[in-house]
Amino acid sequence: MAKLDLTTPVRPLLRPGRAGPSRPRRSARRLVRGLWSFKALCLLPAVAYVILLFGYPAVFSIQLGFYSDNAAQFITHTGVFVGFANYTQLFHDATFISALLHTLIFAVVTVVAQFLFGLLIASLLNKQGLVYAGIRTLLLVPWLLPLIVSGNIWIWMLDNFYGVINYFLVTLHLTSHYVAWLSSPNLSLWAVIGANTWLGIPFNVMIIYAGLRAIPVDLYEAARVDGAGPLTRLTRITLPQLRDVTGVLVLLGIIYSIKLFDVVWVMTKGGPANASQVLGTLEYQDTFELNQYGYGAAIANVMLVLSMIGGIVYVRFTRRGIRNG
Amino acid sequence: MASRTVAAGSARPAPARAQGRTVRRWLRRNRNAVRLAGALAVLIIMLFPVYWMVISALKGQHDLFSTPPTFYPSHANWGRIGSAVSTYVHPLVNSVVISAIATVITALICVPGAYALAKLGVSERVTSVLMVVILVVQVLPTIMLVSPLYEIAIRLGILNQYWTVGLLDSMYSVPFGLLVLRAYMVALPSALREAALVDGCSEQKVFLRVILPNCKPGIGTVVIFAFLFAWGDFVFGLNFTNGPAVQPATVSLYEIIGRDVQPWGQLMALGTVLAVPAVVVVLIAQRALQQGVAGFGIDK
Repeated sequence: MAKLDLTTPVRPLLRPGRAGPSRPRRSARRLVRGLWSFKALCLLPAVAYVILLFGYPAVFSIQLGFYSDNAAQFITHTGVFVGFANYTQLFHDATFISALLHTLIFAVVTVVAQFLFGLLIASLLNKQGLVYAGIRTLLLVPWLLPLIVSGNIWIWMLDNFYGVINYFLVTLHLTSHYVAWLSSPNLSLWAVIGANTWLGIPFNVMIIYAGLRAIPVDLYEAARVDGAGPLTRLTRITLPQLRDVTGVLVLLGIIYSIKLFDVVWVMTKGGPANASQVLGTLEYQDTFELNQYGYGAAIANVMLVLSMIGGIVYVRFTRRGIRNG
Repeated sequence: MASRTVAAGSARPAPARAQGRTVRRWLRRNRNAVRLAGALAVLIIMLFPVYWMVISALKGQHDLFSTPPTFYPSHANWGRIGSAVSTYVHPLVNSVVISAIATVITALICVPGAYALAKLGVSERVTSVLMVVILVVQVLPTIMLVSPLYEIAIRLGILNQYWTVGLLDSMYSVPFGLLVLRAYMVALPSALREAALVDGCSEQKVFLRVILPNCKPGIGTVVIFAFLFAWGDFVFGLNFTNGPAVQPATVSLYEIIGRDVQPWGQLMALGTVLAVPAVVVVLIAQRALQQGVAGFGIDK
């Protein structure tokens, strides 16, 4: 409750030898009262915002998961309470299981790929100077684009008649003919993963770059004196020193993958035949296209539980990092 | 390399090794040039999709569908971008209005909120509970909130309004803004506030005259990201508007993608227009950008 910091130059003005705010009592009380109301004025909008726009809908969604609402019942509040029926149905639903699996694959592959590319590019760009600063900044463009625009670019680049990626692959003799990336059940998930990896790399680069900057140069010099090669320096210095950064990136990547919706929805709508269906797109489809609001909410709640697990680990992780740092 | 396998055990590997050594020595001597070349290659590869969108927007109809594709337009056809702007001027204006509303709401909620959490002596327990709540809220899947919020919007009869979509779009930036600004304000010296208070300033005046001017960079970061997030939204725009009156341009783009035959030139032109804010921010607001990125990674 450090309302007045007595070590500041304020001190000479105060009566010496008293703890706490030591201005005359009445004005002190007025100050406290004023502070309280002003504090409330500042804080309450934020608290109300979080409760109304995040808290209430989240609670509503949890409740909805126990009801059998369709669109009409949803609007008129006449859904029937069905207990855990939505959830038992969920775990017998092959589409849901495969969406869960796809989300898992998506999370693992994007997190690993983004981190490896991020580490490679960040080390390459870990150099002072205007040119490198410029490159690092320009690199952020893909990350800042509206997701729908990125998705749109990739649909066009992956086109099975005119797509430039197919042109590259055929020219480099990696494939013999143009491939229908987005409409083939074996490839659509990988196409979406590729696009998503691309747009997440810049963020990973920036965070890893910040982590690399924080490693003391002495460590590398000492290692070099001791005759450590580049590989040893990577595994013995860089990676251990980047442990916290890696943890943050992995957790944020997993949480992001659980939340994932926009990119997949724009590129494939989860298709063809659910081949790239992830939890987010399935939830949206069941809710807004099949009008199963209750069932959709059950899927949303599974996403909620998964991301909460990620979130709790994340909170603990950053807390520990702060305490240690 | 082939010579090496053929002449196993003979004196041949020596030159190969020597050659390897020369290459390595060359690499070492030109380390800076090699690194720069690598960095530029990375940049070109990473920005290629954006470049491809822009030149696809500029290409004539013939170039657009030619095989092999052309990698620079034979003549820049700016007309298509012009017509994308004029055709979608209304959705683009909607996007600007909605993003501006979201940005203002974000600032109005976050600046005082972060100030209270950072400097107004909210007890440590309350602060830490609120910080955890903010982190958790940031983790919530947006998509799960859509149908409950939709129901509320129907009940209140506020579908298809700028304010509704703007308010919803601010949800992308409020948790982020609270975290970033609180970290920023914690770092401000407390003496600043206390000196002003002792000089007889009221709390309100301290906030407006002392704290706000000192937080300009942090507020700038939050404002820029709030605008970009809202500009990029299409989930709320899609579900909380119907018809062209309020619909943002991202939803227009989405509707064109949904057609049976996509007019690729037009799509790329509208995409290019939608990419403008991101590019502008990258070009003129580097510092804010760096702070914003850090705000995502190292939440306090």
